[in-house]
Amino acid sequence: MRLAQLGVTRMLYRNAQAGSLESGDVMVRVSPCEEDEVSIHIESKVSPRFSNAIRNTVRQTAQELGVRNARFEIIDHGALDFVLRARVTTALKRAMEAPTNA
Amino acid sequence: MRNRLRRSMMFVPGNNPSMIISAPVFRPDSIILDLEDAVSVNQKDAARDLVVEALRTLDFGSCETVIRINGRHTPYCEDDIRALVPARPNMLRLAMTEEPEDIVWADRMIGEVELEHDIPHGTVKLMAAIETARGVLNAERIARASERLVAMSFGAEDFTNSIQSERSRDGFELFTARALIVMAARAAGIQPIDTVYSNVDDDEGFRADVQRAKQMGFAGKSCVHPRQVAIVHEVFRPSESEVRRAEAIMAAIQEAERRGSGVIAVNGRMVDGPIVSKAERVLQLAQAVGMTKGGDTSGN
Repeated sequence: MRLAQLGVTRMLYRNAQAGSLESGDVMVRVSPCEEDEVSIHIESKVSPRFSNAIRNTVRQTAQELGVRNARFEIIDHGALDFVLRARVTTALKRAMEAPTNA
Repeated sequence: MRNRLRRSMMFVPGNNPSMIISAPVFRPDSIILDLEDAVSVNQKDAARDLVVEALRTLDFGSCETVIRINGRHTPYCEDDIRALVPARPNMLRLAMTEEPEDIVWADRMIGEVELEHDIPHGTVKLMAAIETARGVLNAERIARASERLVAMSFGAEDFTNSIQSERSRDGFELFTARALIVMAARAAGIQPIDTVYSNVDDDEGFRADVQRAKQMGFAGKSCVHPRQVAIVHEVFRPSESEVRRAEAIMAAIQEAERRGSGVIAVNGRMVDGPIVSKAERVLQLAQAVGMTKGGDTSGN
C-alpha cells in the first residue's frame, strides 16, 4: 500500500540528487522545504512542452512516498517517464536518510 | 518458463536508461539488467530503483528479463531481492554463488517476498552464477539446491582471479571449470550458461569461444555487447540437414504413436530416447531462427 494512502508524511533531512546528465536520463536535485509544499523547477534540454508531464510525475512520485515538503530541481535530457520516476524516488530516499551522529 | 531458449544472455548496465530501453532491439533470448559489477557502489540504490521502474513499465517483447543481483554476502543483496521480486522479473541471477546454502537462502527470501505480494510461489526463477574455485567444486550440490533454479552460469573473470591465473584467448585455464559446471547443471536438469568474452572487438575469438562452449554442452553464452548476440545465434543455428532429420524423427514418432507401435527407425537407424530429445532440441533452435513452420522469421 502506498504511504500516502496510509496518511504517512515523511521528512527530508538533507539535500540529495540522483540521475545524470547523459542523454535519455535526468538529473533530479531535491532539498527540504520549510513550507508544506512541493515546488518544482524544470530545465529541459529536449522540449519545454513536456514540463507539465514532468511536473505531474514528480508530484505523484513524491506523494506516493509520503513527501509533502520538497524543492525539486529537474534537469531533463530526454528521460522517459519511468526514468524520471526512478530518479525522483532515489533522490527522495537519499534525502530521507536520517543524519547519523558522527 | 523453465527450459526456454537461453542461447544469448545479454548484460545491460542497470543504471543506464538508454541502454535498458534499446536492449530488446538486439533480440537476445535474455536481457540481464546488471546491478552488480556494472554499477558503482554509490549508485546501487539508483540502479535498483531504475530497474524496478523499467520492469514495471517497459515491454521487453519476447526477451526473458533477468536481473543480476549482488552476492549474498554484500550489503545490497537483501534489498535487491525485496525491491525486485514485486516487479516480477522472470529470473534473478545470484552473483558469486559458492555454496548450496546461498541458493537455499535466496530461494527462501524470494518465496517470502512472493508471499507478501500475492505472487504465486515460484514465479521468479533463480540462476546461480559460479565465479570461484569453491563455487565450481560445489557446483553439483548448488545445481540441486532449489526447484526455483533453472540455470547455472560461469563467470570466468572472477574465477581466474580465484585460481590466481590470467584469462587467455583460448581459455585453456577454464576447461575443467567449464566441464564441471556443464556436468553439474545437466545432471540436475538445468541449463549451463557460459561466461562472457570481454574483448568486444575480437569477433573471431568470440565466435571460437561460443563454438567451444556449444561443443562442451553449454545451452548459451553471456554477452557483453549487442554485436555478440547475432554471433551466438549463428553458432547455435542448426544445419538444414540436422533440421530435416529432426523433423523426420518427430514425424516417425507421431506415426508410431498413431499406430501404437513401439520401436521405430528413421533412415535405417533405430530411434531411441536420446535421439528424440536431441531432435526436440534441434527443432527448438530451428524454430527460433525461422527454419521450421511457425518459427521466428527474422532469422535472428
